[in-house]
Amino acid sequence: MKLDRRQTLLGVLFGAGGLGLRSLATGLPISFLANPLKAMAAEAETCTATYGQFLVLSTSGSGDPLNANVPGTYLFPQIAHSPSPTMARTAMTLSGTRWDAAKPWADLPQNLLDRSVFFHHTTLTNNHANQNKVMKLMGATNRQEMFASIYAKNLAKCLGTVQSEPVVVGASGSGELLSYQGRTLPKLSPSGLRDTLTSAAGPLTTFQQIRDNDLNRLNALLKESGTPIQRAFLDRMAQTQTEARSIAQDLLADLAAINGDNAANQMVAAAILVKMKVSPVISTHISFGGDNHTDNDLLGEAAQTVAGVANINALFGKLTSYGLQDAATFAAMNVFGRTLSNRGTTGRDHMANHHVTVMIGKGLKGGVVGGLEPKGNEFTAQAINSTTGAGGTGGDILFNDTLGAVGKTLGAALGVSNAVLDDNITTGKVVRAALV
Amino acid sequence: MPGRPLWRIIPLCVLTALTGCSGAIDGLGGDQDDGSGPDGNVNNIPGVTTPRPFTPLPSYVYTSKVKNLLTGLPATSGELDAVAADPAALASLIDGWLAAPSADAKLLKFFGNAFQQTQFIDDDLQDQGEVRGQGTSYTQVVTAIRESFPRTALAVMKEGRAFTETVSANRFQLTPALMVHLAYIDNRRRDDRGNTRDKLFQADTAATFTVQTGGTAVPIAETLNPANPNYRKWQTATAFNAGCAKTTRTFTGGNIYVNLVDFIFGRLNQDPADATCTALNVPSQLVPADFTTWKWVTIRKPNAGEATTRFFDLATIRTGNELVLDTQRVGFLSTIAFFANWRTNDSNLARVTTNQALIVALGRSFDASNNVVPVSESGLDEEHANPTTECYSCHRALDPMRQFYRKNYSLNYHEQSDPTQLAAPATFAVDGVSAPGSTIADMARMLADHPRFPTAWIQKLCYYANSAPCSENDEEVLRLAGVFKASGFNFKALVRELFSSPLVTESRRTKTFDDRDAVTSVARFDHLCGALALRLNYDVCTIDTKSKNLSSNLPSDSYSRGSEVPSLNSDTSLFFRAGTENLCRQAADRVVDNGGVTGRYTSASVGSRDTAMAAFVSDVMGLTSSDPRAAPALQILKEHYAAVIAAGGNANAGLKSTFVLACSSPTAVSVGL
Repeated sequence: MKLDRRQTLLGVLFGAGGLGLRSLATGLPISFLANPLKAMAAEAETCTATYGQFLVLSTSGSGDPLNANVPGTYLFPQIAHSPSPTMARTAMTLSGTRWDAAKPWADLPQNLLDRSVFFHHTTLTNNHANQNKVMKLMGATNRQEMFASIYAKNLAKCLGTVQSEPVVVGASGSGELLSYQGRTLPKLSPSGLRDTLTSAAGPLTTFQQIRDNDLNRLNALLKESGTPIQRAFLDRMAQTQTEARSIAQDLLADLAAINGDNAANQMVAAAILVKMKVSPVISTHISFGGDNHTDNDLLGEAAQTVAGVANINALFGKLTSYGLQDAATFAAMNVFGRTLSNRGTTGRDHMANHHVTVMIGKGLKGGVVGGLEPKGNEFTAQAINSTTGAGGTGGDILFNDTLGAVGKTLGAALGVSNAVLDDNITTGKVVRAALV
Repeated sequence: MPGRPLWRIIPLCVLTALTGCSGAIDGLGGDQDDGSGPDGNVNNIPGVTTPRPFTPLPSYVYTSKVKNLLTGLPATSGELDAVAADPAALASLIDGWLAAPSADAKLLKFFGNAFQQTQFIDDDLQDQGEVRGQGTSYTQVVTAIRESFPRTALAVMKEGRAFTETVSANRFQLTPALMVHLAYIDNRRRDDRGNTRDKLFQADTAATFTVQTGGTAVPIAETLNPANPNYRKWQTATAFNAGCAKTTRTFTGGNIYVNLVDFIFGRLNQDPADATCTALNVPSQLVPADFTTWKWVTIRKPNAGEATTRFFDLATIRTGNELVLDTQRVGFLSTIAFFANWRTNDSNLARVTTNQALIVALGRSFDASNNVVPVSESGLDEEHANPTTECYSCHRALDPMRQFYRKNYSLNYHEQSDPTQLAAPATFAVDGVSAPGSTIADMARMLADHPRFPTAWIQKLCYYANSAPCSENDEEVLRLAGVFKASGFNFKALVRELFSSPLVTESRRTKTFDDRDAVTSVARFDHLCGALALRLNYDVCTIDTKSKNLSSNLPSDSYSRGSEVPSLNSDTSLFFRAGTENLCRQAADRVVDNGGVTGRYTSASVGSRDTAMAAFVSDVMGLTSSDPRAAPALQILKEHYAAVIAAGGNANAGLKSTFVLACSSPTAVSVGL
């Protein structure tokens, strides 16, 4: 008897009373099919099922100058921008409102711009080492959970993903790794992902089902004499084995498109992982200029911004080819922003007071949230009016709470329920103006 | 730190962040459970505690765990029997295991991570001076830069010397090639502004050297002897390029020593006076042994009037055990690798270097909980000097302490030449110890003498063994700290005591297991790949591109900036399961019915298959016959083979599939089962 991987997969899917196959066919999670009432009750507590979104997050512990060339920063002539023609000041429209930004941003397709939010805020730090703390919104998340992991935990059921832990495909260093419930998650390179999840046809694949059965017998043998901790570990081993088998054969073929580990391949990997419904959150690293203390004429910043925005566009192109352009939201948030005027065009230093998180997705209404104002020789993010999204004095989201507001607003755009957001993020408010 | 409650840290974090000041809270305390959740040992009823469940491990499990951790090899039946009969036998077994070459390989990995010497890329070396030359030579020097300090620490341990020498001594394990590199970058001093000064060239701007092709080899002694006619003449057997009419190239000018070091490492650059004589690769002037011979070398500053070691003085470098350099090198905290890991700049001003040195030596990071008042605040940046801000609490100790680095090194980690920095005082102030100093050796000595030193290294070993911390107020930890100190900081004694203690064996409850659960961990990269390489006798994880890709996605031991806690993923995931299975499939093709170097098992006969399957259980799964799980595991493997044959597979497919089953089984891919 010859069995290929697909047949083996079908065996697994049918083996659970057909729920797995029905899940893939209908898009509804196994938990829903197994017990719809219970699943609906659980989901109602965690996410808004009407538009639960996957998140493709880009983050950089280098503190790239993501805040320097986006809508809002062209209101002040003293803010330095690269003289490169590729970064020319260019008009753009966000949901009917005109803004100026660097050419790469303005050149994004209008359908993306209409769902792009440029959120001005502080990250409350100017220190590379605080990358993982920024991911925890600088102490504003419950139990020191990273905001992306809060989303992942609460969207997993809603989206019916294979696992609830985020997947990190693009950390440029161990500081950019994500943690989930206190566990640091490993990095999975795109090319390694390809080799990990695909396996060639042949005898070893043919007899995989037999091997899985005997692996379960070995697990059972070890559990007989195991401690409770060991038994729990063995259960996790068995569970993850089942998860590995639940990835569809036809989707695995798309992994062959990956030919390296750079940001472009990370976007491909992220789109594939979304299509595979592996995890609600995929973390990547897109550079927008890096740690550019010294960057004459900001040419490095220019080149990387051009490439970085192109990668965002490519991500949505890939998602669109999968018919998933409305299923995933992209966001870029780094450890801190960079100085806007002090060094002119010779480079930028770290800045705690201003950063811009870029969010693009179906749940978002294109526009600029918050703003910036001069402070000393530099700039600072403004307080925000949570109703209008406008920055300025009198905003009910204070400067110190704007980082928490990013976490809540992005979570709301992903479909995480208000109750979950309020329980898990202790500062800031959802900016309703940013949402559709 | 245990006892540092979360509620006290979060407000500090927020306050610190508001001011834009750095504040590291990533310590053990910062990420610990606050005890109020389901995993805590304190229930939600005030004043009522329930003990955390704890089940001791049987001796056959912990003996295998300890041997696997220390050597990558499975415990033999005799070893399991010995510990079963007398648990005290484990300590003496550990002594034997530590003497094995396989233990050296494991310890080198541990030291590389613990001393933060590994996580840099080639570009990170450029501040200090690029590695010159070509291809193989370049790669070998970069590898040596990574290996040097782990080898230093291993040699300190094996010689029974005080482990504090890893912090405060100026003796290092170096190869002659690495000595050449160290002497070369020392000559090319780069100041705070990035300006380079070639000291040898400045001393003799008219200097020249020649490279002759063909002819008689010039003995190095003649090349280096000013009285010899062959002074400064080098020779290569490689013919110059076809369009070059010369047989001798002459190098002079400001780049003379760049050209010379390139030539020594196998790259002859274009003739400065004749563009038709183009650059070409030539055999390195260093022989293979210069890249592989490790020896103790003392690095010291020159005495008054003394010259530094010339990088091209290969005879002296090969035979000597001393390098005289302007750049101070003391302990782990001033190696090329440590500096490449932690580059600094004119904003950071060596704060990162200082903080990481503190993390390595003492397991401490600068944060607002360091309540030691430094004896002097000289060096405190003005922008952080306001005592009413949260910045002040960190910077008042950090800034005077980073001055040890600033006084001794430029921002590119060459000797400092800025009079302002040289004149500024430095002050050490960490956890109850505060003292002024001047040299980097002063700072190293204070780190080595600090009362936290023993506990910090117990903690690093706890993380290595358990993927989790030990409680620092655990009586067993306190006992071990006493043993370590009483032994004169003998690291081997510490390893023996800790790995035979219940902190690692989990043979009985200690306070650590009141504070956290025991951990069964996946075998991370170093453990899994190290074990498979030993047990299958080839480098399973790197032998080809696909294996590299697969193993690169395995979780690995690592460290991160500002964090006192290493990054240690212990949990399995679908990627771990799929990745290890595919890695095992790659291995199956190499070890079963493969007549090449890696072939170990054959399916040719009943006897060879039985032998192979027995080896799968004992060597790959690590279950030897005294382990009660070995016999039923072998039976499952035999039945698997039979099932594959019954399903239409041939003997080759059956044995390969059986190998993959054993190789991806839980005991093969985890630690602590």
